Amino acid sequence: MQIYDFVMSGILYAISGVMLWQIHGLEHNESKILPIIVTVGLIICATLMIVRRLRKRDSDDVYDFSGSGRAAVLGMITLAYVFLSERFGFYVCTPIYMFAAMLFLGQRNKKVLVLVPVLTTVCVYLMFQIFFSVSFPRGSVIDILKYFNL
Amino acid sequence: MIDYSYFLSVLTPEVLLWMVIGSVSGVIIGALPGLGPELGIALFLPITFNLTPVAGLACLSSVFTSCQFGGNISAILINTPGTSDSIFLVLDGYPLTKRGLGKRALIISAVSATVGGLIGSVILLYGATFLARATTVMGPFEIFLITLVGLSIIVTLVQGSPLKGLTATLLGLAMGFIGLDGATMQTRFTFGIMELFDGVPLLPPILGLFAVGQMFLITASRQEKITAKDVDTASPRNKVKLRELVKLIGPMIRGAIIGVIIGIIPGNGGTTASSLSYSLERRLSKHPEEFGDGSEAGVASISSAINGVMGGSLVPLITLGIPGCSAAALFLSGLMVHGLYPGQSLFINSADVVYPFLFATILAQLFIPIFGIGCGAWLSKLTKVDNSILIPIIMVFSYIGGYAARGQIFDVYLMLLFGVIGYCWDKMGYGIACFLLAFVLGPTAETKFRLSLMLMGGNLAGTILKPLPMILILINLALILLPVISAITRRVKAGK
Repeated sequence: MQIYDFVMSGILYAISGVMLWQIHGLEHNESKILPIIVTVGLIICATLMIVRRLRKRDSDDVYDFSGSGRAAVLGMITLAYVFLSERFGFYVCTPIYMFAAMLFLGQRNKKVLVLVPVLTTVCVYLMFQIFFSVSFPRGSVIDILKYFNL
Repeated sequence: MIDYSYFLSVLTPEVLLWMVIGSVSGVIIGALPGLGPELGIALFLPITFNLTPVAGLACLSSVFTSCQFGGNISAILINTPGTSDSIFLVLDGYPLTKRGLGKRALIISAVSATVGGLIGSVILLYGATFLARATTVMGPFEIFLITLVGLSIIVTLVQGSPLKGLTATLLGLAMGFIGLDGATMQTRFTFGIMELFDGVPLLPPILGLFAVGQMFLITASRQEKITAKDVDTASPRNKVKLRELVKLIGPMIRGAIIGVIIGIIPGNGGTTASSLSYSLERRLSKHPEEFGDGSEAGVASISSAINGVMGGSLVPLITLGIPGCSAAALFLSGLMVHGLYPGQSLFINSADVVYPFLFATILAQLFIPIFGIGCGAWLSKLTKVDNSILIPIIMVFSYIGGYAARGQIFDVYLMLLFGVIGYCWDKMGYGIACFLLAFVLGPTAETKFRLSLMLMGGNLAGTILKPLPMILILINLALILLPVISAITRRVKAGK
């Protein structure tokens, strides 16, 4: 039996519990009405999900999570990119991220591995920084290096 | 009355340029299997922040329109539907390509999509204006009930399990509660996180669920390329004469009408419209045996229906705030980021934006044959781009989209979280569109609900016992109870 429905039900109970705890702390009754209805609805849904799975009425409802490890690695690379871009700057981290992600996804052409990240970063810079004046994280580490005249 | 002089607002270099950019990008995104109008609109939403409302909405409208058509290109030329809406096009489009008539099928599809889109957007222009006027007779309680109708329909349409649809809808509503409650000025469910005081921003969930989640899915599938087949479109028989197109006008118009009607009903999309129009055309045809083996009437009716849906789905969106499909829900976000809210007030206070946008939607249809036919065969080569190149590019643009709206890295983390949620929910069959629609509609529903409670002043019967609220309550009850009754009936029959 797959445990995904039980995990989902557990998450729903947890969300409902947190919502009830938060609703309890609200001063105005008006702010509570719909959140209470939604919370009760979530508890009912979570319970129905467990009941249905236990009664095996959805036994053909099998989820295929194969390949999730690969997706998780991409997720971790992206998470590291977001984290590091805040510290080292968006324009420094973007080509490195793209290079790493492309390498992980199986790209082996050296020209592509270099040109695509560089060209994408240049395009993004021209379009968003120059044309739209949208600023991205500059990175605090660069500021620290400047502070020490490095 | 519609002021036709607003059409001139569309004919400015800025608006036209962004429409062209939107159309070209939309066709490319739509042609790439697995990437549909939702992703196209999601990626373009942050770009439109910096544009004037007219240019921004015209651009989004062009992306929506051309994405719908883009899906047809890969369905016809490489037997791989670009969007789920074009699945039925594979039946007749690809057999034509196999006979060396790919370009001919593409031309028929482009012209039909233009006809369907034009009919849909003209109905959008006049229908929305009329319906918006009709909404003035509705009070907050009626609008609340209409919002519930929209949500109920979507919940019941989740394939496989309405329970999962309901769960996703409730979670979407719950997310809509986060932030400052405008009526009581009390913060709810923020857990002291400053970034959530204004509520969960629109873009991170949209980009996370539709772009990042999709990239995770493609990565998990280990698909190196979207396709690797070669296409021959150089056959001399590919030329289409005008009288041949005129012969197909019947399927085109019928497809468009079906598309518009289906588009207006919330929760329905191009897939339903294309299947209905295809089966209708097959029944009406003198040569039903040709269907499934390269019928041009089949290609015409499906293409027309798919693009007719767009206009139809925007009618309830801009008048009642109820998106007809998930792409329209993203469009609602596009309106909101420009400070525009659906309803009659949109047509009064923002007439200088909404009418040019409606005219731009009509104009966007005319770009389909230009870019569709001109670039169709070339675009089919784009589908051979390695996913290892495509995925990082889309991830970077998602980062940009998530960050650009508020300039906070928190939003990018939020987007990543929704990417994971989108991936898991897609695998488990939860309705991502349900979640998003509930999130977008939730705050409106709550505001109207509260306002109606205040206006009722304890007189519940006086508010409910009126024709319109009664009809809407009955529709809601029917939508909720019908699936339950049919499930019980099925179980009883199975028990026998």
